[in-house]
Amino acid sequence: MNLLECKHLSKRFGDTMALRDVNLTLPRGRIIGLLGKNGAGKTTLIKLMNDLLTPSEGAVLFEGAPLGAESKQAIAYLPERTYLERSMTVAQTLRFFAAFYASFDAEKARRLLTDLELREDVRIATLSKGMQEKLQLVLVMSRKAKLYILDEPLGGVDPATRDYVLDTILQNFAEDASVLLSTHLIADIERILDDVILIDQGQITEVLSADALRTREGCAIDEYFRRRFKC
Amino acid sequence: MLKKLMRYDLQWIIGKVLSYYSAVTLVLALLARLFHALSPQAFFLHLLEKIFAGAFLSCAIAILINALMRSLVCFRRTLYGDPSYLTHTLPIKRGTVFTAKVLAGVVSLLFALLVAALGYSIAVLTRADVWEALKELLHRRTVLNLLLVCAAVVLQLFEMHFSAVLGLVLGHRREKGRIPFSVLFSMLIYIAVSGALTGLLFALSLLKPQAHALLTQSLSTQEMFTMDGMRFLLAADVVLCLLANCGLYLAARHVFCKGVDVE
Repeated sequence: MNLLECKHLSKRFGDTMALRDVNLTLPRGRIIGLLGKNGAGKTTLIKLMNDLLTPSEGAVLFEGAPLGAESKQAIAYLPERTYLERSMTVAQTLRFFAAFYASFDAEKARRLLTDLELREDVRIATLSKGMQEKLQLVLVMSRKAKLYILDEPLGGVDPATRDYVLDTILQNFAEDASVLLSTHLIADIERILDDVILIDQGQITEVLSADALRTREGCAIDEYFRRRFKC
Repeated sequence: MLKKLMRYDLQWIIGKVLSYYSAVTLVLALLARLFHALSPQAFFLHLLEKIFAGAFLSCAIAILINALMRSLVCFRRTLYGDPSYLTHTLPIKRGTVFTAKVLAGVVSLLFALLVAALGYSIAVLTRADVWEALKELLHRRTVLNLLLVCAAVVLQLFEMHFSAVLGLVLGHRREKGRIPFSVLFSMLIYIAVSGALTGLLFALSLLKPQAHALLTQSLSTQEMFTMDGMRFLLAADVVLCLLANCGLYLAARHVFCKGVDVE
């Protein structure tokens, strides 16, 4: 059974069709890049997969069932914005995650926080945006999820830390789990991708393996992306 | 899960702000009482007593408004603001999330009412009043009257809360102008529900002439004023408010469970 399936998924915002009849399946054990220009529908698709938007048409199924409490226990989502309660300390946030997610590994989270030099006694409000994003990544990657959905995980991170973030992602998910990565920084993530999903104007245009794409085009994915979506 | 979620919401709503307000309210009530007891004849002390009593009253009203506003802000930000990205991805059923948020608001309002009532007892009630009240409470009918008045006041406050919750849920189903529409919907729902309740109360009063007289005649010209009529109106008001609050809660929960569109 596929991990996640989108069936005839559409999303309309007023007169704008943000996503149009998307049919997509995410297999297990793969790192998948969701690539597209700004406004192509990447975040809309990811939000629909996380039950943050209601589909205008179609449905999202996780292991064959509609999204619900069970699927949310199995999907770890990193949004492109900071969503943590700013009045809490890092330690309180760890306790919050441990209280709600059965698979949250607090010890692992503490280890990752030490690596990133994040102290547990500081309030989230006092952290910079970049540090908050690192903390969010730590919280997400400390869960034993079946699917990790990461929306722009490198967006607010300095170039020096990007490799560390990618290594953290690679080292912290189980073999049968999958990772869906959405980013503009294709050159940075290209080395870890197994599959690529290309999205344009709310429609999935291509789904294929990263190697197949490179062989077909005879160039890196980043170069192909620039050529194809040139303004 | 419901309790856990409620605990975090209550920490945010009551937290430091309402705790400080409560402390200030109770201290002002105590000061008003102290200056009242010191010397009612001395002009300066009498003036201080009035100032503290006025300040206490303002704080008691402010804590109620504060609790209502903070519970609504918490509801909006955790279900539609940035923290909603976390709320909606927690492994909890949508209906449970909604109930936890609403109950956190209800508990906060009860907390504020309790502080206001406690402050009032400290500031105003004398030992003789308390003794008299205790003696009266032994009389079953007085207990019923007191409970009806308390229930009517509490339910009126909850009606505002539930109207605003339904207004927020409906307002956030729109594509644009979510906050202005939430405010507009909340006001319209509150006015409509209050109007309907008044109409129904008037219709029910036709069943009891004493109650009807209370609504149609001025106090000075009333010939048929009885406690029975008042009790009937209060009981009817409590039942109608309870039904209206349940209806508002269920309607908001139904709309919310259809799905959200987080910005």
